[in-house]
Amino acid sequence: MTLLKKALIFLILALLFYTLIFLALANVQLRGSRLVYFFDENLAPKGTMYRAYQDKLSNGPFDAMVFGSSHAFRGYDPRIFEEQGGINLFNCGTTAQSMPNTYHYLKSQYAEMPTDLVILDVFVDIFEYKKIESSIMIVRNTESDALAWDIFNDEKDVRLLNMMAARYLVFEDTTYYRNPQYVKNGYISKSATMKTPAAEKYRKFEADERAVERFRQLLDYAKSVNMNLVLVNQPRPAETNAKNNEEFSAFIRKELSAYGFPFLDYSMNHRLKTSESFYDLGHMNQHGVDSFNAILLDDLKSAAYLKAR
Amino acid sequence: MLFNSLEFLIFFPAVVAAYYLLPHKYRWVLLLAASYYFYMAWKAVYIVLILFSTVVDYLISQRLGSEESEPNRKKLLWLSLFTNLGLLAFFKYFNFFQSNVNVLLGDLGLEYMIPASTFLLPMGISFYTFQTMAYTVDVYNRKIEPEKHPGYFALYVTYFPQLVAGPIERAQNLLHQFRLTQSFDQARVVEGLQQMLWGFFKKMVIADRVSAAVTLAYADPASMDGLSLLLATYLFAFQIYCDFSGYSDIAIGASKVLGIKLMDNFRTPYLSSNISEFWNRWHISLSTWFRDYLYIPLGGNRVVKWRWYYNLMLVFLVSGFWHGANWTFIVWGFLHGSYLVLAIWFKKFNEGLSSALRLNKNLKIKRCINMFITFHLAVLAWIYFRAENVGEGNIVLQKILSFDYSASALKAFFQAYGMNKLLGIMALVIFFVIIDPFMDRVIKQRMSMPTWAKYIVYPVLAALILLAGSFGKVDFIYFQF
Repeated sequence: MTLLKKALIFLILALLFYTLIFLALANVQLRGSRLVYFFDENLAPKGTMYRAYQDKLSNGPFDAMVFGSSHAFRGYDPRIFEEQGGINLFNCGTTAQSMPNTYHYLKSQYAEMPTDLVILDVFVDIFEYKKIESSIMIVRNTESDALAWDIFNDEKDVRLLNMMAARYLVFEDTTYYRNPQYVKNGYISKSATMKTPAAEKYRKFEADERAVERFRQLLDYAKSVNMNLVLVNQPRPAETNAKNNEEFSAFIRKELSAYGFPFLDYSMNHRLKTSESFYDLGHMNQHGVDSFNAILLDDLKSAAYLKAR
Repeated sequence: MLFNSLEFLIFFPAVVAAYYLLPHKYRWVLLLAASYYFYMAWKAVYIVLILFSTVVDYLISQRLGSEESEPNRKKLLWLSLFTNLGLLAFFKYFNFFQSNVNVLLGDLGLEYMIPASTFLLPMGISFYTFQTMAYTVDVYNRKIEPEKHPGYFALYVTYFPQLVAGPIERAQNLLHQFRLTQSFDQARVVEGLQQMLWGFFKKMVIADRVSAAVTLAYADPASMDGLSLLLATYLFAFQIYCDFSGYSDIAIGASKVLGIKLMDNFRTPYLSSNISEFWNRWHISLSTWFRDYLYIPLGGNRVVKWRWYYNLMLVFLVSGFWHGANWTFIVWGFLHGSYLVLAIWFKKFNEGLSSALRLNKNLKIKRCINMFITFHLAVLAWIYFRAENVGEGNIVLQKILSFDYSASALKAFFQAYGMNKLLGIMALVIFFVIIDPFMDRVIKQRMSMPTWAKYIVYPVLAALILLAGSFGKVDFIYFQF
């Protein structure tokens, strides 16, 4: 038998055994958890994104969507948008959402549920993330097979294989992790405060090549479907490194120059106090979100990015 | 370049394909270029050190081959040793001496401080310097003829499968194989790939998964309880074994694919029934190196007793220091040296005890008891090998030995790591303990396995790597040595 033939048989058998072992471990429970979760450090039950999906089914249709990382799902409160702007907001933020993730997720969501306004929350890290944490979460939680496959193909990372397998081999998969801080429509609130931190050190902003490419593809797509897209850099604590932040903002402005999408940069342009409005160097607490969302709504209305309601 | 990286997954098949497509006379060029590329993928500039070491030892060995005067030959040998050990001392041990001397200066009330070196530790420097030193010593002792071909010699120093973490090869075993025309032998290639797969399983499914739990416990031992530390130390015993023997299996398997046989480095060491046997089965290429180039030249055991003990202790202290520039490794070496000396002291007592307990009539039970004791002696020494410093090692040891055990603290450790994930890791380690002796016989001793079994065992290993393997780029522990 030739080596090639042997290799092919080996590959088929390896995939067969993988499927059988996964199937067995995924559908036997111990201590209230599926056995397969014991063996992969990344694999876990569904979580907040799945919870948000339940809200999407029951609370739609939506007027606006927000995309981004934890800054997004902790920075845009649907209750404030509803109360102060009459806007039904759905928050599509996921932990460490990188720009490639955002591109695929936004395309998928917008095609299914085109909203009047799409907010893209941007900051330095989303162009620098090289971890696959967010891809794992989206692949594990999304209801869309097409989106899961798009991300799987784009990442080309074997660590996503188990997440893909879980989509098809975990039966009756309706239990999920319930975050006690979850509010509604994908928004998660935190009330903690922080002591004034040390000033952030400067690090040169270096965008990942693939992230920049997906960002441009995202802007092309938004243009092609006449999306009402607004980019927002939300308030950052005063201790944030201004030079690094300015490099990033300059990068965004330059990238947007050919498209004409607005960029609202609040990062250093706000009056929020670190000790009152942030719980760490990256995230606002509920007090900060209350103030920021009110200002954002006003600005969106006054610049006519948001239809008056 | 790491074996457990995407780069290697592309690099290795490309090298193998080119190797068998090229005529034999060009293969050394390919392997040499591939080896330099393999090393430079980590930090290109440090290739200069390997080149320097290669040139110095090549030139010295040529002179040793033609020089008849014994004093001159000795000078040449010392020059080679000085160069290699000098590189090692500067890049690996400078900061160790610097920090200790600074402490001493501080104690003496002197304000002068020696600045620390900012050089990175060159990957694999301990391995390739020991390999080239062995070569020069063998040429000096006229055990081998100096290699005339600079290309083959350079390849001996840098051969990529074993460049950064061994096995530390002898010229007698490796050099002549580069000259042999290797034809594509399918059975040998398959064997090599199977050994690589087993190595990847040990590294990615056991060592890298265990690593995080061990790190959690050893990060702040003072805040942990004895039971959690004991569990973490057991886990570390398997982490280091799987990490290093996994690397060796990948290296030996990769070389086998190319038709070049490397020496065995591990033979189920935790099944040893005494420490002497342990060292015949653990990191064999290093222990035989120390035996041949330090222990025997010191006189070995053919000396008066006190000198024998001295030889043993010295060899293990040096071995400990070879592993790392930290007192923890010296303590680890000291413990192993002490075990051997104590075993000699208490030999008669042990024999008497065995016969009093009638264990000599039941050799299986005797062996099991001895294996249990030997394993635990090795585990005890691993505490210092893993600890950040001797003080923390003492804390771990004290907490374990004082039975400072608390079920609630152990539960807290499980919860901090993730209860289910830690249970999963322990299940994987138990699975490994069961199959390791079997796989060792199949791979190392070439025990025959029915064809149908081969079509289950290896695909299942691959499936488990996909399902439970850690795919982050985690360095091999021995890269730092």
